[in-house]
Amino acid sequence: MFNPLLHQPVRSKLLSLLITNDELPFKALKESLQVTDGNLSSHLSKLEKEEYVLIEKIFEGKRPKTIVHITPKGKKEFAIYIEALKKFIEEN
Amino acid sequence: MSEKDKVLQQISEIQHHLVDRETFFPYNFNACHVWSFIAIVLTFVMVPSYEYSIMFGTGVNLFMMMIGFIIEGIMTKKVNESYDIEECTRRQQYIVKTFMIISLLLITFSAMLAFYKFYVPILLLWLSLISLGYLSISFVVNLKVYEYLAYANILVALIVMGITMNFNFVQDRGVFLLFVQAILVLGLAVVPSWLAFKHNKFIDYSTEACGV
Repeated sequence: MFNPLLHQPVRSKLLSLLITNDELPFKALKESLQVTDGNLSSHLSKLEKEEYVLIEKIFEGKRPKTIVHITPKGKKEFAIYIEALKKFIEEN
Repeated sequence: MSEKDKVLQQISEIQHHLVDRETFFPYNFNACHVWSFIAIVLTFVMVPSYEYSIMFGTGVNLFMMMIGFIIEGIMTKKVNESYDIEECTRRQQYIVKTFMIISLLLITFSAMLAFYKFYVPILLLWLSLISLGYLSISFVVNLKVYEYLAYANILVALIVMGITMNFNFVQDRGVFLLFVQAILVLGLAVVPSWLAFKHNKFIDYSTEACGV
């Protein structure tokens, strides 16, 4: 009934954060979601595989930095997921 | 928990995370407690130190403010590092610069007023100018309560200044000075510290409520 990729607490919150910010550093996502590096990486890999997010690795001076972007597909699927949640509430 | 309850919870958690970049400002509100402590010390030490000598009073003010900036810098840097948003660093620099300029102005004006032993106006000047600093950071950290605190402090400072001038209390060293010191402790230490405490508590609560 619901998109299984998004109907998961961490991934839905992750997409919520990216919807309003378009892109966020890995560290900001980790702090906000209160998850470990490994846990966040695992969720991001699943979302990246389905092209919901784009992970970019850049260098700021000599420091590596990981930026997570939401893709148009990710935005569209998230909107569909929210509609499905709303519809479920209205019908039940 | 029914399926409907689960979905409602999911919607609620999503709403909690629909926040924009502004909310990522990682200011360490514990620094407010340090500033509150400095405000209390300066409120009571400033007049006796100026009475000893203007140079000594200025030195005490400079020393206490420097200690505050160093501790705040260390505390906030620690929090900033866990994020990685350049914008936050820029905003932090803005806060520090604003307060440094205000502090230098205050220390200079205070030395001038101390020459004439205008102790009550010195304290009220600190109350209003530090509150102006609060007003500017309330926009940066998006906290309306600090804006209200600033307006309230400035209003109180103006009213008390009016009373001071009207009843010629500018050089008072008695009960009126104690009354002004109590206002400063309340406006620059107790209330800001209480607001910081409430803010930290709110963050803890939000984290628990949205915890994974």
